[in-house]
Amino acid sequence: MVRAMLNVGISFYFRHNSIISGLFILAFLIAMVVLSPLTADPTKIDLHNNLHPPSLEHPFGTDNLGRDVFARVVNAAKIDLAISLVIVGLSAIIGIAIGLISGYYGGLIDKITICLIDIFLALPELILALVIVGALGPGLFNSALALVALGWVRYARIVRGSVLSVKERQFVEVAKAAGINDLGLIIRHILPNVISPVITIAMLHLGHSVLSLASLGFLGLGAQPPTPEWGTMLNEGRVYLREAWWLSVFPGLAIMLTVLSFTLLGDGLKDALNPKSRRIAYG
Amino acid sequence: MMGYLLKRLLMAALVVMATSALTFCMLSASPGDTAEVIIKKILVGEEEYSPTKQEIQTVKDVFGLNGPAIVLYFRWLWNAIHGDFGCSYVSGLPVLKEIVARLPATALLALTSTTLSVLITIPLGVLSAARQNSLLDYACLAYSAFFISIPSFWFALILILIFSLYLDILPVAGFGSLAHLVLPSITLATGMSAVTTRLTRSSLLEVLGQDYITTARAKGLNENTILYKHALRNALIPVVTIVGIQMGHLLSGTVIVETVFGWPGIGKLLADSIEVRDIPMIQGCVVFIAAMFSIVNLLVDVSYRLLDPRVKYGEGNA
Amino acid sequence: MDEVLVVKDLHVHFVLENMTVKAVDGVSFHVSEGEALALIGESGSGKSVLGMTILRLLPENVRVNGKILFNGSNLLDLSEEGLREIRGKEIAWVPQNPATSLNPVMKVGIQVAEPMEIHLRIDRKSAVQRVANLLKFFDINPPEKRVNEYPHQYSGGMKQRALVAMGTSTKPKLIIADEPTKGIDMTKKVSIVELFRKIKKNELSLLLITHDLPFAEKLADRIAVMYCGQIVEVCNVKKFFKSPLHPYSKALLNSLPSRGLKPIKGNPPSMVNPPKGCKFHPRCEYMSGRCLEEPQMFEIDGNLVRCWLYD
Repeated sequence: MVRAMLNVGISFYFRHNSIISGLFILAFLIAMVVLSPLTADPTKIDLHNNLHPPSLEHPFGTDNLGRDVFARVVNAAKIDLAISLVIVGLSAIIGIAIGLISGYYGGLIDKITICLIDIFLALPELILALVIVGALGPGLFNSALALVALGWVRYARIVRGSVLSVKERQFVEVAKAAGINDLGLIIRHILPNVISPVITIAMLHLGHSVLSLASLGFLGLGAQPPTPEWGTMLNEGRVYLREAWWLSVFPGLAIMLTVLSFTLLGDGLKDALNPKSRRIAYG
Repeated sequence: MMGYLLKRLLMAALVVMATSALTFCMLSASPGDTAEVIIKKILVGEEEYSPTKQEIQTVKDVFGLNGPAIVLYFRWLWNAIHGDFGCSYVSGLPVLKEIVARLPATALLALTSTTLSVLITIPLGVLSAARQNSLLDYACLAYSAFFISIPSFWFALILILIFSLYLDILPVAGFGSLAHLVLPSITLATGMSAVTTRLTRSSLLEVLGQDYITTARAKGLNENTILYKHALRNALIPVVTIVGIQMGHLLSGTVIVETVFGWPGIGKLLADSIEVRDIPMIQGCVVFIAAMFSIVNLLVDVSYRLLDPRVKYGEGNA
Repeated sequence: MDEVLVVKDLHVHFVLENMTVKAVDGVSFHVSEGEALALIGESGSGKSVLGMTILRLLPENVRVNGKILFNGSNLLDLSEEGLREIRGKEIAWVPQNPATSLNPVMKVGIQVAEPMEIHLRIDRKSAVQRVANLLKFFDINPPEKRVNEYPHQYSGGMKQRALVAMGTSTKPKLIIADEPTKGIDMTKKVSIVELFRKIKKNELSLLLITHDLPFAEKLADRIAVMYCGQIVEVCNVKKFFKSPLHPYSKALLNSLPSRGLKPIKGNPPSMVNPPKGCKFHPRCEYMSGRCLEEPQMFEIDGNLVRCWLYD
C-alpha cells in the first residue's frame, strides 16, 4: 500500500515537475546571489581563524586565509552564473546569426561554416578550450572568450539545419511573392520557427558552461585567486584535502546544484516542447 | 566499403591537420614572444624577469624560433609527417617519445572506464525502459541527471575523501597497482554512463513502440524474447554511435581525472604542458588526441554500417 | 456450423489524461468455421482496434469490457501464458503496413520461422526449410536466397506475402488480416485477392478488417459494417452488394467509383463525444425523431441491422 502510494507520488512528481524541480533549485540559487551582500565579507583575511571547520559563525568553515567559505561560495555564484549567462548569450547570438546566414544563403559561406563546424566537433571541447586559454593566458576573461569561441557551434548547427528545412516550406514562398526582402524574411518568418530547439539547447548549454568554467578554474586556467570562483576554490582547497574537507565539498556542491537545476530545466523543456515524448506503456 | 573507408581516413587526416594548424596559430598568436615566455616560465621560472635581447636571440636560435609563424608551422608539419614532433621545451626529450611513454597509462584508464561504463549503462538502460514508470525507472533517471551534473573533479575529490582519507582502503593518487585504478576509473565511468544510460533508455523505448514489436507479440513470443531478441538489436545501433561520441568526453575527462589522481597519462601531460607553455608538447598532445578521436569516430561509423543491415546491404532488389 | 470466434458486447475505451475515446462501443458478432467475415468501416471507425483487442495487443491505458470467446474460452480472461499459446498458433495476425511490421535487422526467413519454432516445437533447421517452401508457395522467389535476406531487400508486395506466409505457417484456426490492401496500387490488388483466395482453400476462418469494399466483395462470405465503434449491419455478401439494409451501408456503396462516387454528407463522428441516439442520424437521409433514441439490432432474414427503419 505504502509502496503503491510512493510509486504514484514519485511518478507524478517526475512526470510533471522536472521543470519545477529545476526552477526550485534555481530560485534557491538566485536567492543566494541576491542575499549575498548580507553574508560576511569574503575578502576579509583573518589568519588567526584559518582552516576552521564549519560552525555557527562560519557555516562552511574558513579557508587557509581565514576567509569565510560560505561568503566566498555565494559570491562565486555571482561570477559563475553571470559569466555563464554571458557565454551562452553571446554564443547563441553568434551561432544563430551564422546559422541563419549560412543556411539561408548557402554557397561559399555555407561551405566554410560546415568546415568550421566539423573541425570544432572533431575535438572534445575542453581540450580546445585548454589550448585557447593556454595560448591567451589564464584568467576569467580569456576562459569566457574561449568558451564563446567554442560555444557558438552548437547553435549554428541546429539553426542551419532548421533553416534548410524551413526554407522550402510554403509560407516562405508566399512571403517572398509578397515582396518581402531577405532580412525581413529571415527575421520575421524563419527565425520564429527555429527558436524552439534553440531554447532547450541554450538551457543545457548553461549547465555545460558552468561546468566548463569551473573545470578551467580547477585546472588553474580560469579565474585567478583571489577571485572567488567555484572551480578555482576547489583547486585551492585541494592541497588541504586532508585537514580541511569543507574546502573541497561546498564549492563542488554548489556547482552540482547549479548544473542540476539547468539540466532538469532543459530536460523538462525538451519534454514539454516535444509532444512525441509522451509515455505510453505497452504490455 | 573500401572506398568509404579511404574517404573517411582522408577526411580524418585533414581534420587532424587543420586542428594542428589551428592550435599552432593560437599558440603563436598568444601575447608575449614565445622566446620570452620560455625564458620566464621555464628556464628562469620568474614572471618578473626581464630577459635581455641577447638572451632572447640565443633562445630563438636554440629552439628554432626564427622566422614568421607560417614558416615555423610548415617546418613543424614537415617534421611531423616524418615522425619528428620536436622536443619538449621543458625536458628536452622528443615529444613523440614522451607521449608514447605515457600512452599505456591513459589507454589502461580509458579502456577500464569504458568497460565499466558499458557494464553499468546497458543493464540500467534496458531495465529502465522495460519497466517504464516504475521505481527502478525513476532511480535510473535520477542517476543519470545526477551524474550529468556532477563535476568530475569534485566527484573525484569526494571519492578520495571517503575511500582514501576516511576509510583508508584505497590510495589517494598515483599509479602502480590495481587499487590505484579503482577511483579514477569509477570517476570516468559514472560520467560517461550518465549520458549513455539515458540514450539507451530512450532508444529502446522508441523501438518498443514500433509496429514490428507488435507483430512479434502477435506471434506469441514472450516479453523477454521480444526485448532481447527483437528490440535490443535495433536499439543498440544508435547507442554504438553515442559511445563513440562519449570517447570524446573521455579524452577531456582524462585531463581532469589524471590531474586529480596524479595518473601519469597523456591528459596530465597536456595539462602540465599548458601550464608552462611547452609549445611542442602541447602541439604534439593535441594532435595525438585529435587523431585518437578521429580514429574512434571512424571505427564507430564503420561498425554502425556493419551492424545495420539496411546500410550494409544497401537498397535491395525487388 | 461451429462458431470459431464469438464477440459479445465488447467495449474498448482509451483512457487519456483529459478524455475517454470509445473506440469500440458495444460490439457483438461471430465468425463461423471456414467462413470469411469482412469487417468494413471507414478509417477511425474502430475496426483496427477491434482486431487488435482480440489478441490483446493494445497498450495498458485501455479499458476492455465484454467477452471474446474462442474455442469456448474467454480470451479476455486468459493469463499471459495462455494468451501466448493462442497468439500465432490458433489465431494469427497479419498486420497493416508491411513496411514497418517486419524487424529491419533480422533476416526475413528467421522472422517467418519463429511461430513454427515456438508453437510447433521444431528446430531452426527444419523450420527454415519449411519457410523456404512457404515462400515458394507465396511466389517469393528464389526461396533459398530470399530466406536469408532482410526486409528492406523485399518489395512491398513481397513483404506483404511474407507476413501472410508467417501467419499461415502454423495452420491457425483464425486469421485476422488488418487492412491488407492499404497502400497497394489498384493494379496490384488482384494479386492480394489471389493471395487470400489461396489461403482460404485450407478451411481456416478469416476476419478481414478493411475499408476496401470491392476487395471484401471478392473474398467475404458475410459483411459486418462498423460505424463509430458499433456494428450497424451484418449481412450476407451477395445481398449486401445488391441491396444493403442500413442507410450508412447504402451511402458507402454509393460512394464507390463504380456506383457514382457520391460523397456521404456531413462529417465523421467524434469518438469522444458521439451523437446521441443512433450514431449515424446526423448524416442520414431517412432521419426521423425516433433516431434520437439508440436503436437495437433487428433481424431480417438472418441478417442484422441496427436501424429503426426495420422495427
